[in-house]
Order: sequence, then C-alpha cells, then structure tokens
Amino acid sequence: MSFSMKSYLAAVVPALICVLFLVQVLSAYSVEPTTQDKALNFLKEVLMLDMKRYNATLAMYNSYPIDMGGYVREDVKYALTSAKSTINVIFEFRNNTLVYCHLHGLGSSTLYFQTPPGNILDAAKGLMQRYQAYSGATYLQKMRDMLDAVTELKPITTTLDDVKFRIRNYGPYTCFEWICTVNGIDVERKGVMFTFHNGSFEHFADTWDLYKVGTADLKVSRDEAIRIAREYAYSHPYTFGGVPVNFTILDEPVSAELSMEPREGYTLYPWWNIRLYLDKVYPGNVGSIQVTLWADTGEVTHCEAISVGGSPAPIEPPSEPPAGPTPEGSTGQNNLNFLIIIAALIVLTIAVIAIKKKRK
Amino acid sequence: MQNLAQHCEQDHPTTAIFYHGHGGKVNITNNIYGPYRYFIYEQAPQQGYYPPPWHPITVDDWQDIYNYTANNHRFVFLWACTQGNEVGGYISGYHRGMPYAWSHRSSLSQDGYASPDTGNYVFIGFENMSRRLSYWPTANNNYKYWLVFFYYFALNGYSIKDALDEASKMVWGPNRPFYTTELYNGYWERNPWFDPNKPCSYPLNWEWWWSNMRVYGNGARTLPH
Repeated sequence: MSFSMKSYLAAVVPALICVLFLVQVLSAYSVEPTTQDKALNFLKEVLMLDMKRYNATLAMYNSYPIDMGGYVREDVKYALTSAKSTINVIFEFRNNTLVYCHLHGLGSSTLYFQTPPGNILDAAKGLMQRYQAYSGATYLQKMRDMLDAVTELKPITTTLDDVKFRIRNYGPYTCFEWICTVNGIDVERKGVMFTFHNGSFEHFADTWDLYKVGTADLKVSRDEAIRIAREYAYSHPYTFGGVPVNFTILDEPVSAELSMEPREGYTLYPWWNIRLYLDKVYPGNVGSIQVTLWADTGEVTHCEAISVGGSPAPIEPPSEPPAGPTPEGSTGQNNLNFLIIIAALIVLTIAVIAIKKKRK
Repeated sequence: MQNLAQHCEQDHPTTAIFYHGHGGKVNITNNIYGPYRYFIYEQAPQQGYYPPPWHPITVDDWQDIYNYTANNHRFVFLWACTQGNEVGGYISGYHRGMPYAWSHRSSLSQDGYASPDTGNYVFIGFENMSRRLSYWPTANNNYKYWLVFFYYFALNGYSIKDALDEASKMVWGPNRPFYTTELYNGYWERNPWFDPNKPCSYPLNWEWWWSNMRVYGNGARTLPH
C-alpha cells in the first residue's frame, strides 16, 4: 500500500466512523418517537380525531421504575379541549409500546377529520384496520380477518389457531376481544381489545407482545389439583389464637379455575385456583379454604382460610323498631342542635325559678 | 364509627372513609324479602355463632350513620358484606341504606362507574357477599394488593373510576380494566351458614349468593391530592 493510500484511509476511516456514530445518535433521538408522540399519533391515526382543532395539553406524565419483567411503564394523560368539548385520554406504555388507552368524553360533539361509522361493528372494523397500520404488528392480520368475517353485532366466540375472538357485553360495555388460547386454555392476559360504551369508543388494549406463554402443558389435572389442595389444607391448618383449627372439608361443592398467570416476569404458566368449602363456619368466621398451585409443577403457592364478611341473608328482625323515626331531611347536626336547645331551655327554666325564688 | 362520622362531619370540610369488616342486613317489617336496614358489625363473632343473638355491637345505617352525617362524606368505601346492596332512602320511618345514610342523597347513580352522575358523592360497597382481602384472584395479587393499588392511583390524580381501572389492570393485566373483572361483573359466593337439611326457599338458607362491588354516585370525581 502506498503512502498516499495509507494517508487516505487514515483520514477517511475515522471520518466514516464519526459519521456512522452520528447517524446512530441522531436516529436514537429523532426517529424513535416519544411516548407522547405515539399517544398523539394514536389519537389522530387510529381514532381519526382532528387534532388541528383540539388543544392537546399534557395533563400528566408518570414513569415508573423498571419492573420485575424488565419493562418500564409510562403513563401519559392528555386533555383535549375544543370550543365544544373536552376529552381526557389516559395512555399506558410498556417499553415505549402502547398497551392501553382509555378515553373519556367521546360523543356527538367530538371533532373528527373523518367521521367514523355510527354502526359499532363497522366502527370496530375501521379501528382495527387503522390500528394495524399504526402498529405494524403481524399478529393483527389474523385478528382483523376474524373481525371482518362478522356481519352482525351480537355476542359471538370464534377460534382460529391460537386466537379466540369474542364479542361480548360487560354490562353497558360492548367489547371486541382477541385473546390467546393454547392447549384449550384461554390466556386472558394476552390479547387485543376495543371497547365501546354508549356507542362510542372508550377503551383499547394490546398486550399480545407483552406476555409470553412459558408452557401450557398441564402436569396437574383438575382432579389432581383438588386432591393436592385438600391434602395441603389438612396438613397446613390455619390457626386461630395461635391454635390450629381442626376442620372438615366438604367433597362437594368445590371450585377449580384454571388460568394462565405470570411467573418469571411476564411469562405465563397454568395456575389452579381451588376453593374448598367447609362443613360449617369455624373460628375466625372461616367458611372455606383457598389453595392455589401451579398446574405445570404442582407447587402450592397460597393456602388461605377465607372468612366471611357477614351474611347477605337477613337476620331476624328486632322485636320492636328503634326509637321514633327522624323526620326526612334532618341531620345529625339538627339532632345535636335539638339537644342543645332542650338543655338550654332546662338551664334557663332552672335559672328563672332560682331568680324568682330569690326575689320572694 | 359513630364518633368518627360525627367528628368528620363537624370538624372537616370533606371526608373520605374506608372500612373493612363485617356487615349484614335486617328486614324492617315482617317481610324477609325487605325492605332492609343495613349494619356494620364492629364486633363480629369469631366462633361462628348463628343468630340470634348474633353480632353484639352493630353500627346501623340510620341510628349510627345517618344521624351523624350531613354533607361532607364525599367518598365512602365499605369493604364488608351487603353495604352496597342499594342506595336506600327514607321509608316507613327509617333512613335506610348505607349510601344514603352517609351522603343523605337517595338519587345517586346506580352505576357510578359506567354512568357517573354529576354530584359530589361516591360510595363503594359490596352487593351481598364481599370478597375477602386475603383472597387471591390471581397468582401474584390478592385483594389487599388491589386495594393498595386503588388508593395509590386514587390519591395521585386519577378519578375514582380510573383508579378502579388501574388497580384492576395491576392485578389482572393491562387489558383488564375494572368492567372486565369479577368485581364489576359479579361472582358467586357460598353462604357458609347454608344448611342442606333446611328448606332453601327461605333466604336465610340460600346456599349461593350472586355478589359484586357496587359503585354509586359520581365515580368521575377525583380525590384531593
């Protein structure tokens, strides 16, 4: 290599390194939008709000310490004000990815740059289409196809591969949910959701990428879980006043619910929640024992004596009603005032009698 | 409880109350299907005794709450059985119902979470049987933790209904706000005093009770923080 080539490389290589470094730095600071940017983009690109006609004010921003799963949670709250209305929006991000959004105040006075369909089903289809474009996540296509196949808004449940799609009502809320399902176990935590309330969009969540399925293999069946729970409850009796309580567990009823729960951060494993009912109420007002265990290992995680917080059944009525009813609209302060007035009258009467006696 | 209510009413401009314990109800006529008055049991029996006599020290909606409150108990959260069965009101000479007794308002929204009214009052209580704070609805959080999360958010600028959402998301996952949970949608809880040898037609002996957490009033309100 000639001297001139060496000189050339000596000059160019460091310059190239510097340029590459600068590109890296600039991309880190300019290409990746902040959570606030992503929040505002969601409002515009997914919900089609006309952000030019809203004054968006950052009402709150909270960043939490890194959690056990290695995620940083950021909460962003915006107040969108226009001449006609105010919309409050709460966003939740995990590692800069939107996982939850909740709007208050969408309605007839909301300003859109393109008015969404009044039909909830069509509105949901539009939302999903735009969210797919906003997110770019590949798992959304299958979900979108499942929604597009629906022609009538009514409660339904369909399953395709590892996705279970549901349209269901929670009270006055109409919810479009896609959840993961593995080995016949519904993974309620891992999914995508759009919810409408009074005909307007209100909630969104996407936790599909947040959670991972560790295993859905059941090493412990329902019957085995109940057997383990009973043995554990008997061998670890709860204590009352420091004394172990001898109790009897009924064979029936017994409840056993299976769900996928986080262990090791955001990785999910099957988990049994067993409720064993006792033959009577035991010291401490205990009427049942809750035992929970991992269904992939059989390891018991909790064993709790569950007391009752009273009874919903009416107790026997009192033999006679309490002292006379208070007139409608009276208050405790009124009662006090009444007592004070009575006391004052008594004192006044005594004073008047005393004065009269003295005069005599 | 009575003294506390009176003190808060007289000496503080606004008040938030939380109570955890036992509760129940009694019919005010001879009709066991109601109308009812509601109680907090301050000294519940610990030996599983069956009534009567049942709980010796009771705080009832009318005599012990209504008569010592007026306008400033803005947020009341009673984690005990039956406290949220109904708003209540004045009937047959009784000021009955815990939400009414604490707020003196009988027109609170029946669903202050989904459809808040515009008033100043929020009441949260359980319809029928409360879940125990020690109960684990998920592997990592019991209801004690749910409650801590709720108050964390409620005291840090979130409205009551948003704090209900956030607490529920902390327990069930970020895609599970309050309205998707058993607290809002309800759950079956077994009456431990159920006796299979007695007839089930009588409410005292119903085995299962449909229960849930009720929010009355204006859940969109935010606590001072």
